[in-house]
Amino acid sequence: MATGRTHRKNVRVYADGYDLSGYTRGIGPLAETYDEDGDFAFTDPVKGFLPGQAKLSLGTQNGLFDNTATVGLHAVLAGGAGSLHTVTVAMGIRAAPAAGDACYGAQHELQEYATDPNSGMLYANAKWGPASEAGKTLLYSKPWGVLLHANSAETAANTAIGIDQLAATAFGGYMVVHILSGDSGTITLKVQDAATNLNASFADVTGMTTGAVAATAGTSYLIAIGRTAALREFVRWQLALGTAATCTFVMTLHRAYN
Amino acid sequence: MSENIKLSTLTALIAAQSITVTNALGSSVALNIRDVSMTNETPGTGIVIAINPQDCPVLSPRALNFVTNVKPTMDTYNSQSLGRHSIEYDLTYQLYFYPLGEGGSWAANYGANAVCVMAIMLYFMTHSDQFAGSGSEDFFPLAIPALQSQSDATSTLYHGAEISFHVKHFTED
Repeated sequence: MATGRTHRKNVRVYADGYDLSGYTRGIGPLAETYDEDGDFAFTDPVKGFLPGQAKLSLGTQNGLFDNTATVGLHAVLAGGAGSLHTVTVAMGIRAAPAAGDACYGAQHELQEYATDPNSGMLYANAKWGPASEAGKTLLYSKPWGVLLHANSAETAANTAIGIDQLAATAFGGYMVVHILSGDSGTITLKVQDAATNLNASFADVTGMTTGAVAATAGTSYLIAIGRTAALREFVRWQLALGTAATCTFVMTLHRAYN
Repeated sequence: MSENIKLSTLTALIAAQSITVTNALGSSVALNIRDVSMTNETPGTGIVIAINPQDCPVLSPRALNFVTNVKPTMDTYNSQSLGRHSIEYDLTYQLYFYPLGEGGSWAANYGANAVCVMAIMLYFMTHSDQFAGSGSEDFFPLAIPALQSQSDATSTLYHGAEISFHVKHFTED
C-alpha cells in the first residue's frame, strides 16, 4: 500500500461482482452528507446546528455504452434501474488499488440508466440513489473502508500478516465482497482480525463471512455485524476452499469508529 | 519530503521497453529505443551520434526540442515542504525507420513505415501503466503530426515520424 495523493486513472469500480473500471469514465461525488438540524433561540447571536442523519451518495456514473455479454456496462446496468446494487469504488495510490488502500462501499439503488444517441461516441450514464432502505448498511453512516483484497485470484488460504488499522474498536462494521470469476465450486470468504500482526494470531471475525457460496462471476455480498461488535487492530482476508480451486475476488472492510 | 522531476527515470524506462515491430526487410525485430543520454554529442571532437541503418528502426529523443510545453503547477499553497506541486510536459521522439531512397525509390518502405509507426503508437497506448514506476502519474501518447522524413545528426534522411508523449509528474517522492 502506498500513501500520498493519486490520479483518477487509479480508481476502480466494482458493481455486483463485475469490474466496471474499463467502461467507467467517472463516478461521484462519493458523498457523506448530514442534515443540518437547527437548535437556536431568538436571543442566540449565531445560529447553531447539529448534524442530523447521514445520507450516502454515489453520484452519477458516466461510462461507455458497451453491450459485451454479461460484463459490459450496458449488460450490467441497463436492466438494473430501480433495483439494489452493491458498489465498491477503490482508490489506488499512484497505481492500481492494493490491499490497504481506501475504498467506498455501500448498497445503492440505481435510479436512472440513460444513454444519449445524439452524441458522437455513445455513452451511458447511471444515476445512483442514496444508500438504499433495502440495503444492509443503514446501521453505518461511514461508507469509507479499507481494501483487504485487491482484484486477483487466490487458490489457497491466506497466511500473510494483516493490515494495521491502528487500534481495536467496538462499534462493528461491514465487509463487501465481489466475486469476479471462479470455477463455480464452493468457497467461504471472510475477514479475520488479530491483536498482534502474526499469522498464528488471526481468527475469524464472528459473522463477517459469506458462508459457503459459489465462486461464480457476478456475485457480491455486503455483510454487516452488530454495532457493538469488537474488531481487533489487525485485519486480513481469508478463504476456505470447498469444492472451488480458484476464485478472483475483491474484499473490503468498513470498520465503524463510533 | 523531497521533491523530484524524474525525467531521466522516465526516459530510461521508455528505453527499456520491449516493442516488437516489423523492419524494412519484413522481419520482426525489437525496436531500438535510445535513452536521452545517447543523443549527446562529444564536445570538441566533432563526433555526433548518427543513426546506423543496421539498427533501424530506431526511436530516439528528438535532439532539438525534446522537452516542450513545460507547465509547473502549484497544487496547494503551503510551506516548501508541505505544498504539493505538479509538472506537465511533452516529450518528442523521432522514429528512424529506414534510410530514404534505399530499396529503389524514395517511396519504398513508405507503407512499412506507417505500419511500424502505428505499432509503436498502439504499444504505448496500451502500456501507459508501465510508467508509474518512473514517478509519472500520467503518461500517454500525445500525437504523431505526420509521417515524414527524419534527419539524423549527419543529415541523412530516413522514413519515420515524430511521436510525442504527454507526461505529468507529482514532484513529491
